[in-house]
Amino acid sequence: MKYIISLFVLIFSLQSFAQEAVIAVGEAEQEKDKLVIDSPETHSLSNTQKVLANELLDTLRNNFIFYKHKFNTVLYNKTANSYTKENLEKWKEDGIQYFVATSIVSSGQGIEARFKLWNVREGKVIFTDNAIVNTSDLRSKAHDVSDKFYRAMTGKPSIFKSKIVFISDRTTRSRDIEKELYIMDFDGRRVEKLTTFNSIVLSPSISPDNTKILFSVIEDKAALSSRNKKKIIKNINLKMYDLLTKQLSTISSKPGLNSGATYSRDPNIIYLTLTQSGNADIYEMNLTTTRMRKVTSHYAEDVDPSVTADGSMMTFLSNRPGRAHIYTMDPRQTEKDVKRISFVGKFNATPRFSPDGKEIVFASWVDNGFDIYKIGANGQNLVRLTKDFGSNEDPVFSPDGEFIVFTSKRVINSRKAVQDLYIMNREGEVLGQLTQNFGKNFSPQFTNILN
Amino acid sequence: MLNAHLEQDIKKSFLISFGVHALLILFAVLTTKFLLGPSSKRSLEIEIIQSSVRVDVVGMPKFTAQELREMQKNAAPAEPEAVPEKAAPAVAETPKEEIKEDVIKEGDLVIEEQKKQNDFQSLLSNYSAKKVNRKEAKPQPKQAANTVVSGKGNKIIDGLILEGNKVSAGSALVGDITSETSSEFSAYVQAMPERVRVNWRLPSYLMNRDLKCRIKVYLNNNGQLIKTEIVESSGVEEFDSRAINAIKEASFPPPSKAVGARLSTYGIILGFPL
Repeated sequence: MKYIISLFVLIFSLQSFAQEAVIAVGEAEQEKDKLVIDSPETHSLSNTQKVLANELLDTLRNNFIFYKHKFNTVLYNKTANSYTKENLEKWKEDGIQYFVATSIVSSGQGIEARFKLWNVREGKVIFTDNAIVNTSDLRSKAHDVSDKFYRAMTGKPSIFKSKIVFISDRTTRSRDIEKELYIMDFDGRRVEKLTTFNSIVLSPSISPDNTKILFSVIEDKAALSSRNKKKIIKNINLKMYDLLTKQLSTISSKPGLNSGATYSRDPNIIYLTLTQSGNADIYEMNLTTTRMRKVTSHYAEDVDPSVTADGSMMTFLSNRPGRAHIYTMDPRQTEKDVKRISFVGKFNATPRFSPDGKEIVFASWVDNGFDIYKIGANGQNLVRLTKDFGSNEDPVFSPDGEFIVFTSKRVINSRKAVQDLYIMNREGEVLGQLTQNFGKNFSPQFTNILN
Repeated sequence: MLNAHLEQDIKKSFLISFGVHALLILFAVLTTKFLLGPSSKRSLEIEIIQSSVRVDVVGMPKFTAQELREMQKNAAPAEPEAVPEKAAPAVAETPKEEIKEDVIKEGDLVIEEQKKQNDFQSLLSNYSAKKVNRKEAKPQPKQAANTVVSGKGNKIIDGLILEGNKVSAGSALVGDITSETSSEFSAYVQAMPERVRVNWRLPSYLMNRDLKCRIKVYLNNNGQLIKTEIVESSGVEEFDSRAINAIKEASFPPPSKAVGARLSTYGIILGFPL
């Protein structure tokens, strides 16, 4: 019997000695990969072609500087003909992870650029590409090649082919403010005007296939006064712009507000704010059938919806607590799982989901201006992103989730202020200014990444 | 006689049955311990220490993510600090807010007197008659964002976590807290990841591969590294060696005698990432 008891004691002793504490260190920080985009020999090119070649390579390098939290993009003048004669050992010695070997030859008025992307550590070419480049298509070709490089190195899409739709008041000439719709490359280049309403355009949203833009515009509308006399009133109507056909159409012009529309993953389903029932509520609308369904139903004002890619969660602004605060809910049913996730800030605005639906970026009024904050979709992990950088509003995640574009306003004097678009990475490091001398700019929206 | 035999047989059978069951249990325990794969083995054996605190958001964060990151970087390579005799709670002090306080003097309305004044009207009149000296709060020295970390970059950080990122001890604790958490040893080892994490970096090709390793760390009484042992390898040599390097590059404060004795003899396992 004694032996049996001793045996049990031994077993339990073994068990207790086996218990060892583990202290979790957590996830590692990613080291930057050293990336070289080589400068090839251009002796055989004409001066115009040399300029074209330099601009192409500068654009490639400049693109990767946006991802400077991932890549350390450096100039490398040690090899003139790396395209035909690789020097892997030397590249390894220099700590290079990826090497873009280039060869540029004449092609008519333009150039033919040939690229080999080396994974130096693995000692193999992971991507090759040839591109005929002319002055007219230089930037789009450069962005296309950059995106291919990025995908080959990271396995993920980049923002290089994304565009930003935004609103600017640059055509305002008199007291009547004009705000029109514009589109530009992700880096602020190649700006194009899309609308000419001579009115005020608001809150654009881009369809999942990047072919259509929903937005609101303030328009005059005939109405009857209380004495049955005709009068003109202002109404905020919902419009659609087709980027392929350049045609405009009216989607909703119910009395009052038809605004803040945002696409869901299904291009036929949108969410928008209407005031037809007396106060602002969020509705789901089927663009084909025009059928409406109430998503929020509350006596308080509910506006500015943003929906996750899978359509399971919506964030919106509501003054239910007396001030504008951020809420989340399941938009598939009316008033389902409504949850308040912001509790501080004098005024909160423009909550926008990250592409993975895990985070919400928003603007909040603190002290004397707006700043950009980020919070988990569950209401946890509130993080401040901007400070001492003007008044910052209208944040929106890039489609790859790596960047946030926002507006920043600086008051020049009592009569003049500038408001430009800026881009920062998701940790709040401001990378640069996207618009300059382009009036006041508002409501940036990224186009989606298409596979 | 027959009964005695029967009784003896039953006793014998009982002992045999008891012994067999004991052996079966022993077999089951040993199988679990030694024969199962390393990950399942670990999950059965290892108790992960987590700190449990409640975070109350009382204002928007004053510091940006960038600023907090810089502060952490500056604070991490700290000069060895003496470990307090008693385990300090792993929470930041709530900074005093600059407020005007009511100073109640002798003769003012106090709770005992309130008892005598039962009717609401007289209570109100008493309140209005109350002489309260308003005293300006002493202006506290203003700390700039970059000055909360000391010049040497090695003191954490009374004012680091302010409004919005305020951490308090809280009243409702959630998490796997054990009695050890409050001990001196736990306080010491829970501070170790902070010091290792600043050196814990991976190249892109080792990120997002769901690799993990566990390294046992032995420290002497000065907080210096005696040795490391790979308790559980990730299977990728570079990953393991980068984890070990992160430990080697870290500086740990000298532990107390008791903690030092335990760390030098038994060590502590650090999980990368868990």
